Amino acid sequence: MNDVNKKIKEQIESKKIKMKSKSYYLALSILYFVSVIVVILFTLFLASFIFFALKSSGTNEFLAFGYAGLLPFFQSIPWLLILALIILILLVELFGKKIDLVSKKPLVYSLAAVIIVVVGFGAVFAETPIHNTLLDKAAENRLPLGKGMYEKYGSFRENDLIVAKIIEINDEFLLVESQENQFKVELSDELRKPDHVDLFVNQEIIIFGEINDDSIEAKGIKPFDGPKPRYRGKNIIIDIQRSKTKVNSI
Amino acid sequence: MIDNPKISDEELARKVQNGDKPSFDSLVSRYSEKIFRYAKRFLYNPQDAEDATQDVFLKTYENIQSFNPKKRFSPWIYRVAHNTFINIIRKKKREKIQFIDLDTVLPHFVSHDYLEKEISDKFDVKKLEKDVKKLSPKYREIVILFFYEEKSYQEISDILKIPISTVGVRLKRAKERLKKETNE
Repeated sequence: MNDVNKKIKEQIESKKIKMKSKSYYLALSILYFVSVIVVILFTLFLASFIFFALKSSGTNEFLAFGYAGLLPFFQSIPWLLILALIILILLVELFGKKIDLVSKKPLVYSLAAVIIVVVGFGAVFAETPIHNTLLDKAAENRLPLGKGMYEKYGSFRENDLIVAKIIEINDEFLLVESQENQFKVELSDELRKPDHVDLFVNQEIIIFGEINDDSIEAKGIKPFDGPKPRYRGKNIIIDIQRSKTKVNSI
Repeated sequence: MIDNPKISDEELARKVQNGDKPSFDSLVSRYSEKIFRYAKRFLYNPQDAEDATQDVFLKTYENIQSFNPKKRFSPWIYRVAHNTFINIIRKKKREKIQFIDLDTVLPHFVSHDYLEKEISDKFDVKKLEKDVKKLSPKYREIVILFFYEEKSYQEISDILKIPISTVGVRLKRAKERLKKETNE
């Protein structure tokens, strides 16, 4: 053993091994702290953006249309963002493992705590007007960073969801007006609409179906009370309730 | 330099941090036997163990400014040793080390006192040193720390950075594996 002790002493005295300075560890701690803060903020922001995107794109609306809405619902979920969020959550967990309180508890506890905080914060923050403001900026080309993300995930889905105002009701069809066109919606027996909901003229509705020329093959309709739909690439914000269409730029 | 036993490890470490090199010699003389013993049993190769022990102290010296003298020095240097030994095992690819251990994922609802009593009372692992070598690193290490280095659950939890309940469960499983080995 004395041999090992001697070798250690020799190595230190020959200055082959140098003690890292206090300032090195201070800088490392600062870097760690800043990285943790950045990752946490980004995680919270991404979580809130996902909640916002689910609402803003109309994805959540599919759930109101029963089984028929399930497939498009899952297809419209921003899986890539969710994957990124999972990676960030694991990164937060990894940072947390440096803290004794976290490393000495079963992983499932700390992970559950992180998920609850991230999801809770995300859901609450998504309700603030910040994301809508950023989406508007993205549409106006005033958001260099994140423009693509806001336009891709925050814009309303146009392919299978149509937000429109009822302008005429009769026994066979509804005549509706969307942002640009008028459509006829056939009222078949299979059409799914929520029970105890009476449709009326000037009501804003959301239609789940496909557009064929001037008619919509609807699988379901329901009153629409979501946020104002923002359409990708058209820079159009419409306020159907007030029957005004404001075109910012095309 | 003659080691003054009245000076605590933490005080010595603080002195080293302030540039007192002879205090590091005292730390080496206090811990070299223990770390070498730990290395020998964990790496089960005397040459590896000697090199590893040397490495542990060089890393300790290099990184001593990251030690908080308000905390205990012993778990800290054992943690340095643990990391060094795991790196050696990984480098030599002799045994598989899992990145995530499922034992640390879920909570284990077993009384620590019960496990500690159950494990230490009825089993003399020291007589089974040959079989300890056959255990996988995660079980071998915990057996070495508990039975040979006589560390408590809390200390092992501090060294390995795992929940205390996991320490108990791993020890129980290690004991079962040793029993199985001896019966075969």
